[in-house]
Amino acid sequence: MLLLPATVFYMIFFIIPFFISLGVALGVFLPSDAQISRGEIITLRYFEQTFDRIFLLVLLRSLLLASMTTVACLLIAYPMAYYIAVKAEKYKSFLLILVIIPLWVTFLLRAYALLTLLGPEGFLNGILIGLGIIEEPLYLIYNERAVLLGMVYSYIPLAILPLYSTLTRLNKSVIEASRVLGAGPVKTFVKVTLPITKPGVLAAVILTFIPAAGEFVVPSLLGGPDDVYVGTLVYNAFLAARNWNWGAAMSIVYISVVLIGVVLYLRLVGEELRV
Amino acid sequence: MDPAVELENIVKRYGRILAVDNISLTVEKNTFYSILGPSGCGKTTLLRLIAGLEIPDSGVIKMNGTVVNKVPPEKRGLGLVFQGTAVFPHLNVFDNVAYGLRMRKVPKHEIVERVLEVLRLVNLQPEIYASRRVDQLSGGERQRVEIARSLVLKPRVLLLDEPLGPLDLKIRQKMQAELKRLQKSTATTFIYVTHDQTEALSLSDRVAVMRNGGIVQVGTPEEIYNKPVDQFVADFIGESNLLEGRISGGVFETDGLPPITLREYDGVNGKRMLAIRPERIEVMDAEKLENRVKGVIVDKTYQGVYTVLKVSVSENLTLTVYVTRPDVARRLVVGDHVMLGWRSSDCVVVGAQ
Repeated sequence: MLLLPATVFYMIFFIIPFFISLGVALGVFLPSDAQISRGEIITLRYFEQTFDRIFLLVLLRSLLLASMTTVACLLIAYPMAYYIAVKAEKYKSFLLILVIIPLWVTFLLRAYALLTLLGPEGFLNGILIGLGIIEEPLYLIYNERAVLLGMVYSYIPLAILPLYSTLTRLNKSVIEASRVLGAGPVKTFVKVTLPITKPGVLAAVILTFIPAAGEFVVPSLLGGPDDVYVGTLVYNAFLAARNWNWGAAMSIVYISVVLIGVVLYLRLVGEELRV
Repeated sequence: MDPAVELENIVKRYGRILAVDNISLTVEKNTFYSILGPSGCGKTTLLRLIAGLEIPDSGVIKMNGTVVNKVPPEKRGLGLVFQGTAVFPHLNVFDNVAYGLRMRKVPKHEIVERVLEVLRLVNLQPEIYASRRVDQLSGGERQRVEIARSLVLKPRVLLLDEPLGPLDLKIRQKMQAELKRLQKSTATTFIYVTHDQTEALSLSDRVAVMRNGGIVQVGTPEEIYNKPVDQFVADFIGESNLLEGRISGGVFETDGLPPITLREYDGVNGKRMLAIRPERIEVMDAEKLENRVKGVIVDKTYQGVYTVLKVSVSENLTLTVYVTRPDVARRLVVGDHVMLGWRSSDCVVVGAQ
């Protein structure tokens, strides 16, 4: 009974749209004129159109970007969450607010801030040139590096929050017990803290990887013309090529790949999620 | 022989709070030593200082004769059982207990041997418990795992911080007996922090009573109970009738009671406080006792093991009396006139040496 609201939410916002998209991808909904004239109710042509070399390469590239983003976010977010949850006594709430505030500022503004900071006439280049460290400005924007930077920048708050959540519930006595039993700080972290906070890490990975794989705002604002990802392709299919069926087919393939990947990952890392 | 632990002039401040105020004490080897005091008196801080989890602002901590101020907790050769358990939730019982041994790189077969041995020692049959996950255990079982985890390393000193707090009465009593047995059979020094004076008195070889960061009295349980050094100790340890009065010529005088002749009193005269334990006051056959007073029962409370009577003996003096005999207790009701009696030897001048 308690699961009802969650189930309803899930049905409305995921299951039903998924099947609607599947319907569009199969030509059941919104068939093209050509399809109608041929009298086909279901067709696989849009899926065939999807499985071409370029799409698959782009999909791989998106997964790679999402993986790098997730790893980078974890490496940065974990120590930050640890500090806020365990070490910062007085400033805990303040620091948490600092982490959450960027989520309220639309990414568009933050992207432009990044562009201004890193652009050829921007702040960073200005200082480096002014100090005589370099002569020509560094090309830090409109390329893959900028995209990764922008991704990590936008996803860190999402990674910090679940990590913080498990870390606050960490019993400090357990850490001290490990120390008294003879484990130094590094061993204690690896053998005690990390395993206990695994649910938080898993949640952070999922919360970061899944949306990052489909991200298209960051690459379009901060990337160059070559920085094409799955999100970009789907966006273009819907809005430029106006081929909704094809766009839907690409979405279905992409979602399926990501979900299967996540399920395999969870199986691999083991244990039920006890967040 | 060097004492197990020695503290000399230990001071610890947190901001403006003086948690430990110039404490010095000595814990002899193989004793069950309790640190007893109300919440907030600094006893947990003191234990953490001994453990090395906190550093004193000043003072010397010695173990076995060696100064250990700069030695980290894992190298002090002690075990620590925390308030509210700190067993590793992600490991099963065996791995919990084996943790310290694995940190010391003890060979595998020896680990198995020692873990099984210590599990039997704390009455957790290995066949049943070794592979159990920690969250499937009851509070008492978890506490025993934590004790086993420390004892398996054969520490010289085991520090326990109110380990039996959250347990039910029956289990707590059983665990208390087990802890006492373990201390004796493993010949370890136990330093036991608690706010429960019954626990401290029944388990310890020596008790240190703490208050507001300082040690008020150190002694055997009998000394603490029968010869409290001040009103706080007399009041905190068990219940007492505390009477203010004057002593001169070996006789204690106070309003509401006849003069009490104190045998062998060679302490200071003048204004003093006298303590009489409620269980030492008789309500039957009081005529045979040296000190008697008449009074009226104004309150009667049944407490299982004994019945508590409040007897008004004068306008401003009410004495508390424990009646253990159920037949006597049943016969008495509020409003009865009774004769109370007690021996002079059961009177303690608080603070006398």
